[in-house]
Amino acid sequence: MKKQKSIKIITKYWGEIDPNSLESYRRKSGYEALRKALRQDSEVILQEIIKSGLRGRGGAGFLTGAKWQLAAEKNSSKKYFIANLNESEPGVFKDRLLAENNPHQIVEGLIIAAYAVGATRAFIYLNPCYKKAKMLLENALREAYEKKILGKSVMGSFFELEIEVFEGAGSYVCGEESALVNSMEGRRAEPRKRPPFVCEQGLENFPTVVNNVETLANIPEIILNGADNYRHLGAIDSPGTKLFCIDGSVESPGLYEALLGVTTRELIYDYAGGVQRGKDFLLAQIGGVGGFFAPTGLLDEPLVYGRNTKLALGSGGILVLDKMVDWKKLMVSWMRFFQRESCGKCVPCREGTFRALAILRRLEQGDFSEDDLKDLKKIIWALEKTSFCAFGRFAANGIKEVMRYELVQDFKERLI
Amino acid sequence: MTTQNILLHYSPQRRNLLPVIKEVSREEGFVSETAADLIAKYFNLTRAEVLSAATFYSEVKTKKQPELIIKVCDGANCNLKGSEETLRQIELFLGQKEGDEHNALVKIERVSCFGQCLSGPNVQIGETIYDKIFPDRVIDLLRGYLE
Repeated sequence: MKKQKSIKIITKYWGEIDPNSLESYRRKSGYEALRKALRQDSEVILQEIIKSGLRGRGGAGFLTGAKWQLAAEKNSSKKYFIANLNESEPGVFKDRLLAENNPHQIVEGLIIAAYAVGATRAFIYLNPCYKKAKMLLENALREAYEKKILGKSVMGSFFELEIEVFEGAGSYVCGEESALVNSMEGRRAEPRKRPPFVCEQGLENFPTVVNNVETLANIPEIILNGADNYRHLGAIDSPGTKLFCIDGSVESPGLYEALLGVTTRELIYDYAGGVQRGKDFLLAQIGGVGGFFAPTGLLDEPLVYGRNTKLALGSGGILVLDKMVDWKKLMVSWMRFFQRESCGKCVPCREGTFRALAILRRLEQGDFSEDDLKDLKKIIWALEKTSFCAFGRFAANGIKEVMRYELVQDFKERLI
Repeated sequence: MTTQNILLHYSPQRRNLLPVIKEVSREEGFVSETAADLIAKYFNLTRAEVLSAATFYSEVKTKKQPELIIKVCDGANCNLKGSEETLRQIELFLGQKEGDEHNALVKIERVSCFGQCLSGPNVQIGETIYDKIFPDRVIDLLRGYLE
C-alpha cells in the first residue's frame, strides 16, 4: 500500500468499537454530534447539510440536503424518515458491514436527519438476508431507548423520535425509494410515477425521506466538524469518502474507504493489492451488475457523482475482470438477475429482460443468428429508452458495454 | 402458529401487511387462499390485494413448499467464482433441475445475492448460509442434510 490516503469517516472506528455496546461507541465521541445538533435549530442543521454538498450513497448521487429541504418545507402533521438498508446489488456489501461494525453510527445519523426534516417516526428498511445486522441494529435501538437517546424526549430535548427496524421481503427494486414505500404499505414493490416525489408524498402519503445508510453515517461527521471541513474532502461537487467493494481478480478483495475522486487504478493497486498474480487485467466494472466498464484507458478517470462523469459510480461495487472471463456466461448471469428482479410493472423491462435472456442463452450455446443480434439491439434500445425506472436502463447497459468494447466476437457486425 | 394467532399480534394498518404475510408464509409454509381471506378480512382489503402483494416477494410463498430449499447465489461475483458449477453438481446429485417443483422434499433455486460476495460461491440450505461452496464441497454438505 503505497499512498493510501488515510482519511476515514465511515470505517474510522471499525474493529475498535464493540458493535454491541452503546458505551463503546460513546467513548469514540459517539452521539456528541447529536447532542450538538439538538442545541441548534433544525433549520440550522438542514442548512449545514445543504452546505456540505453531501450526495446520496445509494447510487444516484442526488444531493442529500436538497432532498431533505423538500420534505422539511412541506407542512404536514406527520413526516417519516427511512434509512435504506435493502442493499441487494450483487457484489455490494458495504451497508451490511457498516451495520455489523458500527450500528450506532447509522442510528445517530438517522436521528439527526429526522430532527433536521422534522420527522417523528423513522424506520430502518433492512435486507432480510442480513440476520446479524438485524440483531445488532435492534440491540443498538434498544440501548438507545434505554439511555433516552430515543423516545419521547431525545437526550432531554423537546424532540421526539421512534425508530424501528422494518424487514423487507427479498426484492431488489425495493432499494428504489418509491418501490420501498410501496412495499412498506404492503403493496407490490413497483416504483411510483413521479412527481409527486417520495420526499413530498411518500409513506401513507406523508412526506418521507429515504436515505441510504452510508449517506446517514456521514451526518455525525458533518455536524461535529462542520460542513466547510467536509466539503473540502474528496472531489469538487462530490465531497466526502465512499465505501468501495472490490472483488474479482485482485490480490486483496474487500471493502475499502477512499475519498471521492479516487481513480480505479488507485483502488486496484493502492488499496486492493493490485491485479492477481498470473492474471491479465482486462477491465473493471464499476457500479455493480450493469455498470460501466473501465478498461486500461479509463483507469485514471476520477470516480465521482454527477452527470459529467464517464463512469457512473453507482453503489460502489468494483469487479475486476481478467482476460479469461467467459463473457457469454457472465451476460447470461446478469440477464437472469434482471429478469428475476424485474418488478413487471412496465412491458419493456418485463418482456425485454425475458427475451434478452433467451437470446443470450442461445449465444452461450453457440446458436446465435444474425436476427438474434438485431433483436437484441432492439431490446436494448427499448430497455434504455422506454423503461419506467432506472432498472431497465441498467439491464441494457452491461450488454451495451460488451458490444461497445467488442468483447464477444458474435456481436461484431457481420457482412452478409 | 396459525394465521389467526399471528393476526392477533398486529394492528390492522397497512404497514403491518407485509410483516403479517411474511410471518404466515414462514409459519405455515405458504400463504394459502384461506389464510389470504383471513388476512384480507382483518385488514379490510380484498383477497386480490393480499395475494398481489404476497406473490411479489421472493421471501413469501403462495404454494406449498418442499421441506428443504437450496438457494444458490447467482450474483455476478459468485458466478465468476464458480457458482454455476456448484449448481450443476447439486442438480446432478439430486437428479433434478433448478426450479423443478416435482420433488416434495427438495427444491433448488437461484437467488440474486446474499451480500457475502467475498466468500462466494454462497449456498443457503434451509436457514443457514454457507460460504466457499465449491463444487467439490457441496456434495458432502448435502449428504449431511439428506441422511
